Amino acid sequence: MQGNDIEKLIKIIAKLPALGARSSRRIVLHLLKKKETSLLPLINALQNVADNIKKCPICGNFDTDEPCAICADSARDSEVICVVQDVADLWAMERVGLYKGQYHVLGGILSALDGITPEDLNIESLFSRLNKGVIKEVILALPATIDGQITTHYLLSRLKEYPLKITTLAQGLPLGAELDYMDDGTIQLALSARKEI
Amino acid sequence: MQFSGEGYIIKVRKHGEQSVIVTLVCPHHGKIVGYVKGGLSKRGFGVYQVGNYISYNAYMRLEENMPSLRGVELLHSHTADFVLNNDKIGALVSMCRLLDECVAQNDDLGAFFNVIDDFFRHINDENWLVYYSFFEFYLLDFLGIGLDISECAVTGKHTDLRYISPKTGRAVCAEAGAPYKDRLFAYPQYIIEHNYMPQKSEIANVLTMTGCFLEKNFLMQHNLKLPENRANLLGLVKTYKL
Repeated sequence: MQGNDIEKLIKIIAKLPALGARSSRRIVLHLLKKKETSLLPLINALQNVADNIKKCPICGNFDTDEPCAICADSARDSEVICVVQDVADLWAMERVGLYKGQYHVLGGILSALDGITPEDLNIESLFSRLNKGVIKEVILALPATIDGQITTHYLLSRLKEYPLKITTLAQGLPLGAELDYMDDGTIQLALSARKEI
Repeated sequence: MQFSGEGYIIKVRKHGEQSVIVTLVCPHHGKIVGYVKGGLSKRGFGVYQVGNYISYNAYMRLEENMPSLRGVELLHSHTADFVLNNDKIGALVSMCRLLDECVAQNDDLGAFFNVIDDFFRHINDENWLVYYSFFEFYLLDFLGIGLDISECAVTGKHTDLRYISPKTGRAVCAEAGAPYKDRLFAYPQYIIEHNYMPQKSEIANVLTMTGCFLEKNFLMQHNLKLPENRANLLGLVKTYKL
């Protein structure tokens, strides 16, 4: 049996993504046992984030500075912008470390079936950035799903008005994949995007 | 209780971190909504996409419970057919939304499923939009608000049918309809004669007509609207080549 406060903490942690009641109890128990080394540093870190984290007004990324470190970095290529669905996608691109341009986070993708319209997304600010005339290339790094493609085609139809180079990420076989295990759609896409070597 | 079947995915909703709730239209079980545990795992990425044809085993404790779909296998992937073409995505989304909103759960689709199946099977044909127009035409039939195009509503004639009345949804012959021709829809000849190759204006006429009847006789009464993507289809017909 736990006290009310501990029970409340277990319930809050259990609501976090990828965690359930059992993992939540294990985490809470660990924090309680390691108060000095785990619990207090965690409280400090959470408090710092809660006090300082901001959504970048330019790209929509999360950071403690405004604008975010990526937008403020003068060493990055300000002529290329990569449009992503979510901050998680931005982090994935940054993990690779190859891309050195700017980002724009849409905060979701269009979905006719779920009723998500362009007004619900961070799209107008993308065009405000383009209107400044600095950007020369837009990379549409959106999911290879039906909804992702609806968003890509919507953006393409509006981007046509701008004298820009517009690119999308390649679609096809993932690294380490064997053809035998791939679904028909992936093979079909890979075939249509084949390139000469 | 359990049953097995096959069907087209018309809607996918995320449930929690890893699972999905999918809506399917099936030849034998009509429209069903099922829960797939772990549907968002790496293996499920290519499978649970709108338009894909899958086989499944459905399990539920009581008949009124939502079935849990297990042993799902991708039988035919249509993702690539649609992903590369914005117009086809528009038609797919429009069809899926109409099916989701107009067809009741577990309602037997009967022969109407063949019309849906035809749309997917002919999606790579040049005249794929014809099959979309068939879908809307027979959706009216399925909803019980089908058009009577067999005889003239005024004279009872079975020949020389040229128009459809926007009020009654019945055919009108050339002679009786001539004074009102500006207010009548054109007769959908290619719906009757399957070997007849329609002009793009004829497809546009049928889509305008089905849209009007769907909106007037079904969607408005249920406080629904025609899908936004459908509006683009009419624009598409102008550039569409047969």
